Amino acid sequence: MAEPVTVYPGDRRFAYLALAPSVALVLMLIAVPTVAIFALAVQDVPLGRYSGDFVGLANFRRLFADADFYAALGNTFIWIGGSVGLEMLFGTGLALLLNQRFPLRWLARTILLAPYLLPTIVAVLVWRYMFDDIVGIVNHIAISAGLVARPIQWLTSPRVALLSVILIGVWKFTPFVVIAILGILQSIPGEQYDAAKLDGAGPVRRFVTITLPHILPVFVLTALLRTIWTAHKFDLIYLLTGGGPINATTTLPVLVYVRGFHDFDAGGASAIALVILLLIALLLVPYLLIHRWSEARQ
Amino acid sequence: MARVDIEGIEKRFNGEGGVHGVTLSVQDGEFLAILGPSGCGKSTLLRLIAGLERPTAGRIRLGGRDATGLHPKDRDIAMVFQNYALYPHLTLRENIAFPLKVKRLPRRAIDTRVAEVADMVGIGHLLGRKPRQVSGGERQRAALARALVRKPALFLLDEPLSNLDAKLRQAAREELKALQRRTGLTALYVTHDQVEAMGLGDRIVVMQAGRIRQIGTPEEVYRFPGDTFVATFIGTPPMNIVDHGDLLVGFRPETVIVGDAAGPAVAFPVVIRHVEYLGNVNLVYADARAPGQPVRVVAALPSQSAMPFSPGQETNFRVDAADLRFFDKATGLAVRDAGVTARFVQERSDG
Repeated sequence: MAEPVTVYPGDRRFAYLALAPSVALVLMLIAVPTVAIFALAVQDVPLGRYSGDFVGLANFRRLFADADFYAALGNTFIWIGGSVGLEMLFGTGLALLLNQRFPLRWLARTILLAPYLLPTIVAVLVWRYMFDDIVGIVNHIAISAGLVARPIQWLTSPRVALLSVILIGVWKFTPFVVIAILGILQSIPGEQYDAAKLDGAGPVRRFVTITLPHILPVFVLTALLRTIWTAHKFDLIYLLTGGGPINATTTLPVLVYVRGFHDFDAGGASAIALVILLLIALLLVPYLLIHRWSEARQ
Repeated sequence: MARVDIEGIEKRFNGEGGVHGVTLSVQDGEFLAILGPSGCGKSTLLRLIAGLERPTAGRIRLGGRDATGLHPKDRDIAMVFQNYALYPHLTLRENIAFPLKVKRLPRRAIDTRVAEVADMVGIGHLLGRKPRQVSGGERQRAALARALVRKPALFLLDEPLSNLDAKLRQAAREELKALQRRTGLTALYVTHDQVEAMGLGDRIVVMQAGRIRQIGTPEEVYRFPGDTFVATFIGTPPMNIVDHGDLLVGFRPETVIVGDAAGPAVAFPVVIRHVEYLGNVNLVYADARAPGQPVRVVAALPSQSAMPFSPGQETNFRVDAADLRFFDKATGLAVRDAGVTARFVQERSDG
């Protein structure tokens, strides 16, 4: 039997001891993989091994000479800009609409949230079926209505596929924006609108004076979160198109997967992952500036 | 100019609440307090006058002109809200200037007027601050200033002092009354606090369940309540009500006499339960003997005089006949009939 340990209140050593398991867990889950990425990015790791020869910045030099990388980088910008832009636009519009009083509003809200709750794989199957060139309902309707003469290759044409993927992503993730904006809209005291009405302010002035300043901080935060999550997005794109046709929908996360698990180039994949990390960090700068500015105004 | 006439106004909501057949006139320059428990429709009445709610039936005239279907902005009404409704991201100056900016007044005129009303309510030195950088009392003044700034014909106040602490509320009440006297504004003031209504109102409208129970000066409403609701809603503690055949007999706690009566008096047999010392008065709680269940009655005796009652004692609460009020048991309405009083005094005279 070990000697009983006497613990005094305020004993720092005991406090550290009590924290140790949590700290260890956090280190294992966050620090180890992060450090591993940095470590792998400077190694040439052969198939079936966890480490290899130190190669310095060779993986990055290879990456920056690779046309596929620049194509993926461009796709990533289009993917983030298109997705987040449309999600914020539609999400805010729908939230403003759903904030109005109308019959069966609860039903409209429930239906609108459905895409967000649906598992990605289910959404992908449904949309692949609907966007099918030959049997898909989208082309069927478009042709019947006389909008197009020939079927559109929604997911199989290099020129259209990225747009289709963006639209499906917007369909799936707009509800998140709606929830966030609707929540803040409902927290605006009705008295402020009443006071403005009595003072003769019309709908536009009420929107600019009351609604907009109230929702701005949440709008910025939501756009920030959507940007991070969209930059990371892998499953939706990979399941829909596998990055094709001819790399047309290959964004950086998809390229990481292809380099790591098709080409078995863990070093190259890690180098791309670090580029994504840097990219997100740069994208956050404007948001943080806007956030600080709007905080200061309050 | 600022006369208000409301005729048979009706507002029905799904479920409870609403206003039912309210008819009411407010004179120019009058300070009218609308008093009632929460959910009695007093705020709805105010919002109907402001045009923020549409009446189901009835008419509203402002300054003699029909305003029933008029847009809120065309009614020349300003309103002060319970939570002040200041725009949080604008400074107090911008908040107060807002109604004038909407009217597109020249900048110089706006600045002058804003400074004027801000000084009037004593927040001239805070104009550069945001609402959350000032105290509750200062926010309340800013809301008042925003309402005053465009010199409205009618001033509506919806529980404007209820978010202030008790001490501040007292001071704000005095200032508000002085302000109204100075500006000669016509004001409707909604409150659930009878002290505010009594202290501020030239007249008081007592509402319950969407209907008006009584309109009168504070003294009329207190001394001659129109029905048992008003009798028991106003006064702390409320009027004592004792059963007597098909009548109810009421007397205020402070009318219980210790010593000699000025005129003919009646005695209510009671058993004393307990005494509360409240500083200025002693409250004597007792059970009045009544057919069936005993009724709780309260006497308020000045605490300077000797306490003639002790718990457990069987005694009488004696009340001057002139201080008795009678109500119809079936309708609850006041019965004002000298004969009724005389008969009751004869039956219950304590000699």
